[in-house]
Amino acid sequence: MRPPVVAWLTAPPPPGSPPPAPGPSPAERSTATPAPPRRSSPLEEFALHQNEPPQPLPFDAPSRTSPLTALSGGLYILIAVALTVGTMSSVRGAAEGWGPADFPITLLLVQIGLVVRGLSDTVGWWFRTYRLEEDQLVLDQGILARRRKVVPYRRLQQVDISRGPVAQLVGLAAVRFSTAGDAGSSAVTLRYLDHRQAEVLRSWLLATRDRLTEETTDGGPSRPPPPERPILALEPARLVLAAVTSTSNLILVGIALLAAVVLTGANVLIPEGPPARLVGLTTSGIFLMAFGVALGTVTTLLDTWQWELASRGDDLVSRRGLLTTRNVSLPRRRVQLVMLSDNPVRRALGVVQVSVDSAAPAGASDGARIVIPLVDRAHVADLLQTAMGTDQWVPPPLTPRTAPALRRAVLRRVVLCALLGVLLVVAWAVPGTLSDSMLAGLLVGVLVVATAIGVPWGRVAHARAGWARTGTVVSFAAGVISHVQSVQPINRIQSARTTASPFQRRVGLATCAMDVAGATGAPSLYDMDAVEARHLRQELPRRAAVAPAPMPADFEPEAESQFSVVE
Amino acid sequence: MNDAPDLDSPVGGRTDPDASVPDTPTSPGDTSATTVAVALDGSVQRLDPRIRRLWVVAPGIPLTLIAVAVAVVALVRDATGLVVAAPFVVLAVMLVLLAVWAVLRWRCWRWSVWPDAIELSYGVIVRTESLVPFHRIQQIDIRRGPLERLVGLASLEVHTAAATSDAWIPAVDEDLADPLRRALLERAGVDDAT
Repeated sequence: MRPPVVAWLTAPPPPGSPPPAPGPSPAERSTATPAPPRRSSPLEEFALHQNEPPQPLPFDAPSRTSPLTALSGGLYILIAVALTVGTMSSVRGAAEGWGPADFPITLLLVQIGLVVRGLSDTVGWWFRTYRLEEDQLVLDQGILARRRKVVPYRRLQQVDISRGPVAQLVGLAAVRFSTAGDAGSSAVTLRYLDHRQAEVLRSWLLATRDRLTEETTDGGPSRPPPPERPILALEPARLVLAAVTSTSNLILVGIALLAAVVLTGANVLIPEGPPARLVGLTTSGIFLMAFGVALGTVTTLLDTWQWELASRGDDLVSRRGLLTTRNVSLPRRRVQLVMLSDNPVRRALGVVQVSVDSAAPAGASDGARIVIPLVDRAHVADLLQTAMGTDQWVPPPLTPRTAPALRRAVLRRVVLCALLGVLLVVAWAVPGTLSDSMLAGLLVGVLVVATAIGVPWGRVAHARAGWARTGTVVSFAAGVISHVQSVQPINRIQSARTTASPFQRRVGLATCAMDVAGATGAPSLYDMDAVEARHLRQELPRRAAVAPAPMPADFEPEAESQFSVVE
Repeated sequence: MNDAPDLDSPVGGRTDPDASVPDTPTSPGDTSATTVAVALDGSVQRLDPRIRRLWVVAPGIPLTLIAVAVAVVALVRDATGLVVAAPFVVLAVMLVLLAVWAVLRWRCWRWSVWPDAIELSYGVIVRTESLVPFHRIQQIDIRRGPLERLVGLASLEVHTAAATSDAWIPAVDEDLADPLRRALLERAGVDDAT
């Protein structure tokens, strides 16, 4: 018997309701099938507009990456050899000789690791080839297990050029391609090309992608690559401010302060002095926090050095970095989400961090987003308008949540502070250093302090949280220590979800989340009114088919930049 | 769009929660295919009831093995009969709890198909409701684990471009899975590339 066939039963619509809207036709939904691309020598086109690349782009025959890649592998082997020599000469005098027993085992493991890495880089270079085909880039790599990775031009979303410190010295660059993010495709990396060649390759790939995806192909001469227009450049002072006021720094400093308070309190309250072990633990904890702050600040600063944002046609291009320079391009049409984040310190200073996200493949760390480290809050609207070409990404004013949400926000924080306080008191009282009456007094004190901290914290959290919905975007905002406001175009919503715990259900609240293409976490709002949440869940994904795009259809990328370049 | 219908009194479609899908033969002489009717008006479907057995058996097997192992160890160490019986008592209690939980889970799991979207509602303690519009469906996977195959079930996973989309129907009759998938994909306008 043949398997059953599923037939759709459409119940007659109830009287008075509008007829169901037809679904979008497949032709509208799929990408337009392009006419076969004209192929006058692509290299000629680019020679007209670019400096001659050091090596022709590999259009027909597969080609290896820069031979200096093998050199970088050799560097690792060199370091391993140097370690051996250094150890040999330091462990014992050469006259005495030395035996295998003298060689520390960890050093041996490190050296083996270096040699393996060096050999794989050197030998792997020989076995790595790439070539540019009609409509895709093909990369073959692997010594024992051969792997072929294919990047279709049409689905190319992002091309990043990054240069580590050694690569900068030698004049190389690594190029990473990512395609529109299915959860499962990983980015393809090409190591290492000459950095001029990397730039030429990227320009060619992006131009080819644009040409393959445009709806009409005119018969005229091919367009030159669009010029790069600067949008924003951040000065070092601003970058330092961004690195210092990061949320992680804030949290570490807060923990260190709390530890200091606890330490002084213990010194005061415990008659015969606090137990040395706990004092040592707390003091080393404070030093660890300080070290973490310093390290985090320096790393962030190195990462965002000479930060610049520009537009090139439809792509946003961002450059940053000192030891490792990164050069990220992101097509504006693929932007899925814009997030503005700040913390109490930044809010007091009136600055905010803006990130522009596209569909991220699973496992991409920084690949699919451009993060603007710090902008004045007052300039955000102008910046988004200039960078994205339309004012519809500007965060709309928010509707606050309901009263039960306020109560829960306060309660959560009071309980959290109380638990933390009790834990600290118990940890310090367990060695029997406190009398019972003092312990009771401390616990009461902890409850009072928890309330004193938790209530204003909860009220501020409630005041800064909310949601908003315009014709084109939906926005959620929440958080105090790390406050994030997301702006998500309705026509980019993939699916939506509401979640409610029994406590939330009891007071008529729910959490609403809108899924974003790629592996980025879905923007969501906790403790939203359940009716409104259900409304959003049921309406917005459906409207995604018909909502207008925040990018106007006739987007003209050549528009003049209205934003001041240097901030 | 209208609010979801009151889930306890579905409008149209199947109302009998214990039958999986009503079979409607197309014509008396045609025994080659049965047409399965799934209403497009958001009426509520439940999971195939056989999933309840699966939800008890799947964790039950390792639990039984553990209980047997503990009892054997106790026997080897010449323990009294009571000690040897204890693991089985615990096992029985846990199986009862699993059965209760499986029934609750099954009762709380609902899915419905609207003209333009699939809506799911699940979760006993924390209730989650999610909606996936048809035009976002990229592909639908059918998964059949060994236990599911024994019982005669299959599960459908609906994928969108978002990794966090969680549309998943864990139990449909295995004969129904492929036609349902094809019908959903057709409805979504996605080419079934198999």
